[in-house]
Amino acid sequence: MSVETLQLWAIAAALALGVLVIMLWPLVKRQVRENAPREDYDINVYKDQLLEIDADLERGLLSADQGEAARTEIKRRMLAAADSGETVTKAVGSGSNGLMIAVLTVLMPVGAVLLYLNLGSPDRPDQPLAGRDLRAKVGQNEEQMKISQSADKLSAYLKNNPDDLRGWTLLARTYLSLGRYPDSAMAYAEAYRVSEESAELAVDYGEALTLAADSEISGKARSLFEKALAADNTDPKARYYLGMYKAQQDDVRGAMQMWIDLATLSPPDAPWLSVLNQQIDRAARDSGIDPATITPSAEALALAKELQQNIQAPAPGPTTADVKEAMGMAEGDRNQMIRSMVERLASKMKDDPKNKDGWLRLERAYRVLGEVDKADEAAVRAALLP
Amino acid sequence: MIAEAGHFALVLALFVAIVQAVVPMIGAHRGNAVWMAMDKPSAISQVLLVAFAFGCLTYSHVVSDFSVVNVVQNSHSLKPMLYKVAGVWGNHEGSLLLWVFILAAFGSAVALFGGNLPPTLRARVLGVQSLIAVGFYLFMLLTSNPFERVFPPALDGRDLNPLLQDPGLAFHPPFLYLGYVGFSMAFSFAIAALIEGRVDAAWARWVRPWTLAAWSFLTVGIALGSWWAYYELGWGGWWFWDPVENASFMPWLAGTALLHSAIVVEKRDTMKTWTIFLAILAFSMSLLGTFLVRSGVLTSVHAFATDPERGVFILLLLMIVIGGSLVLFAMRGPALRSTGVFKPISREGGLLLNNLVMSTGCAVVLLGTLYPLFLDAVGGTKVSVGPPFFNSVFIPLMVPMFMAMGFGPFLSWKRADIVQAALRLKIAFIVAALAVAAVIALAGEGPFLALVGLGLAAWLVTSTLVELAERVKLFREPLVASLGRLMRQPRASWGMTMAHLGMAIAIAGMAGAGGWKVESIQVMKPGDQVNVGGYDYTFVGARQGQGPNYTIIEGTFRVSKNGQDVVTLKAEKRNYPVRQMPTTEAAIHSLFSGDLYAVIGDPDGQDGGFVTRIYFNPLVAWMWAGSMLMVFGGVISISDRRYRIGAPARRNRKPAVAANP
Repeated sequence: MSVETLQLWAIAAALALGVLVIMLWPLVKRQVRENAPREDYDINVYKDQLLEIDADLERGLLSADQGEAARTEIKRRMLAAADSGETVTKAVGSGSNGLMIAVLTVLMPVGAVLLYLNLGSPDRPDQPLAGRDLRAKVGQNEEQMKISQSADKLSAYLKNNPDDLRGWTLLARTYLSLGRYPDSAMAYAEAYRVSEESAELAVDYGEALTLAADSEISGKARSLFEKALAADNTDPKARYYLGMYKAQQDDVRGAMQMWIDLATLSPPDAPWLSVLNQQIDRAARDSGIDPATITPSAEALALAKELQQNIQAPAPGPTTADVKEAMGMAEGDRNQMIRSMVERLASKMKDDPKNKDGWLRLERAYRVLGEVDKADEAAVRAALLP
Repeated sequence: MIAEAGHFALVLALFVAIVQAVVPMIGAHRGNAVWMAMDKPSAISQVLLVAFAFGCLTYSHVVSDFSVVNVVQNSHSLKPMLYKVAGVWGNHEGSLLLWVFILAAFGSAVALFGGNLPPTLRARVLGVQSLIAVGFYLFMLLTSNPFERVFPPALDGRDLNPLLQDPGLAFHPPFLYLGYVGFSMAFSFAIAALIEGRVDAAWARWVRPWTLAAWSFLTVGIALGSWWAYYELGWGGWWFWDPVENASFMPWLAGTALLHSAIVVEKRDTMKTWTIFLAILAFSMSLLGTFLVRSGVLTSVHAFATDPERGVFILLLLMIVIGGSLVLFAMRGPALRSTGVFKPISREGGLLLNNLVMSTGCAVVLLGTLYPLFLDAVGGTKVSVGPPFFNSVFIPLMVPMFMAMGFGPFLSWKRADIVQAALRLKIAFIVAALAVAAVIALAGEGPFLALVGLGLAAWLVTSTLVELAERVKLFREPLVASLGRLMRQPRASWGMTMAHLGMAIAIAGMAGAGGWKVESIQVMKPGDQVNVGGYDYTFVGARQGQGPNYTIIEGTFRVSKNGQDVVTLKAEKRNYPVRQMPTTEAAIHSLFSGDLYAVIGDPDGQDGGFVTRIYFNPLVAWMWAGSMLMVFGGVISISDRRYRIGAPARRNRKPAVAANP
């Protein structure tokens, strides 16, 4: 049991004990004074009403006979109250107080603990934001932390240089890779604004918005995806998310149509195909619509054909096969060489951190090696230099 | 650990509430004083536990603990601290926690300050109150738990609805809830009285301060809500007959009737069934309001929850509370005997008319609010019942009411002479006619209803003042004597005078803003000028900037009249990227004669033009000033000494002696 869990149970015990002490007091004391008879309470009020009549008479609000009539009425009420003597309270309880104490002492805390165990998560510590950052700092996630800090620095820099398109785009991408989706969406919003609403950024901006909203596609995100699709009608992300939008609007068939079209358009080795097919399967399962009944739309087929032809058309210069061959031959050696080159550059940058070009070269090198995190970090460092 | 401790406290509060709902009730039934006495410590334990839970949730919001679902869904690490705190109740679960907290607070107030209540009555009142609480604890714990956790914790929150990120939010719901929940007190008193089978003048006096408190809070809540709509929604409107607004208006109407009806019970020992019924109605309308807003039946800013499970639960709770209390009312109500008799033309008759009109008004609003929902539910077409319906049904209903409101205080109890009263009020008739004539001369013709409204306002102000003058025998006695009388007025009658004056001022505001609003929508480039309501607005320009979690466009207008500078207005349009929502921050400058109101919209065209909306809202601020005067009247009235009569002396005896006579 962790310290926090122990503390929780200590607090719970204190609460339960405190409540029991407060609540059982009248039962334990058993010395409750006898209540005055009910009519005394009523008569107290009526006496006050009589005084009020006197005051009203004195103020001249009531004439003498009006006052007299009102007095008679109130006195009649007093008599009626005194007559209804049935409500005299017995001062005490019977011997059942001991039983009551026992029942309450056992039932309240036990009931509360049982219900709480059913509903709560007693062994889960709090996760305040400040504390989490601290933990992240000391933990193994140092790399991410560094990137995150650089990104925040970049963000501060951009506040004063709000028209730096490259900066905003980089910041947005960095935040996205860190999983800070709302921040990413804000940065993309700026980038999108500076770029004068470029269609290329639209899709990424929409994606960030969608991720920030827990995959819920807002009207804004939707219009961004539509814009991207209008600019490039093969854009896979835009098609994917627009399908998702339809699904969220309960148009599952429309969504599946969108995704099946996308599958038709995708090259057979596209990295997103497996996710896409899973999505189609899931939608089919949930809605009971057989995906086989949905055929790719004419538009998608036409587009797919066009793409096919572009690929099959003989390209000028070296064929794709040639390139592949050349690359395959040198693959191992080439990587080895790049890696040692990059390491040299990285150590050089440690000694000369103000060299902007150096950081940009390092970023490109890391990208080639596929080390995205390190590439992003280098990019952020470059962007921070004047 | 803090979040979990809050969760545990809430669960424990449920069990305390169960004890409080059962033990004192049985005690009162059996005449067991010790069991009855359990009401006080239970009520106090409850409020302490819920306050603790509320504090824990607030802590989680303040430190942005994103392992708590409620924080994830409604907060964001960048949100300003005020809204981190206000965000605690700016959402479904948190606002329910506030609801039960206020419920428990009212209960403990009765426990602490209810020493003058007969113990059986107090035990039953607190028992009924706690029964309501049990329903709400279960609702929260089972369907809307504010302490639900998520693991791994989210990286950041989804931010609060930007429309709600406003100082108005910080205060509007708590006051509204204080009003809603306050009527639970009147309800509990009514149910306890039905169980006891006695409703008498003393009962009416005991229940009155709680009703007054609830009514005052609700008035503040509604006024704040309409004020918020006025400056935040940016259309210059202050009341839209939106179902959510109606939800708060219905308990207000029922509560206003209840307040007046209880006077008759207190003074004349009659109209008991009316009063009990109105107490049940007022709280039922409060619950219905909670249901409408919380169940997601209505889609609006306020519908945080759109979850059928919750809706069904609230509906069930509603049926049990309203249905159960009405059944009890039907069984016990006829047995309530009245002793006082009165003629139709009398103070009682006037207050009865008030009851009738107010409950009819409540029924009209209820119909207009529920009819579209009902039609939709039974598969009919979608209709929308909007302002035209309410304006043409509700307002004409209120016109004779306000006429009668001037007469009421002049009628004496039992039987009154209406001709006599009219004669004493001739000055008020004259002032009202003059006011209408003056308005036509000054503002030109206006809509008929608005003219009627201003006339009624003038009538009501004058008649209320005439009543006060008669009360202190102004001009019939030396001025000093009158002044002396003025000082010695009981606070309750001050309360009436102020509340009626406040109502009159509010009516004037509504009529003015409704009848002579000037509105102008155009595209303005820097330097452009437009004349609205006699004021020249020069658009100076707009700049873009960045707020803590939003971007802004800020437009500046210079306002002048006849070449004289009046004020510089800065209107903002904010855009919250996370929620993708724009909000408008209207620039408002209140003058005695009306509000200057400017809103900046989107850029239009390439050359620095912006869409701007400019309004002149005559007298609109009077509405809120009048509302505040009404509330002030309520507060003064609560402080009247007659609500603080002590308990009768009690004899000190060992219980054992009494147990064995």
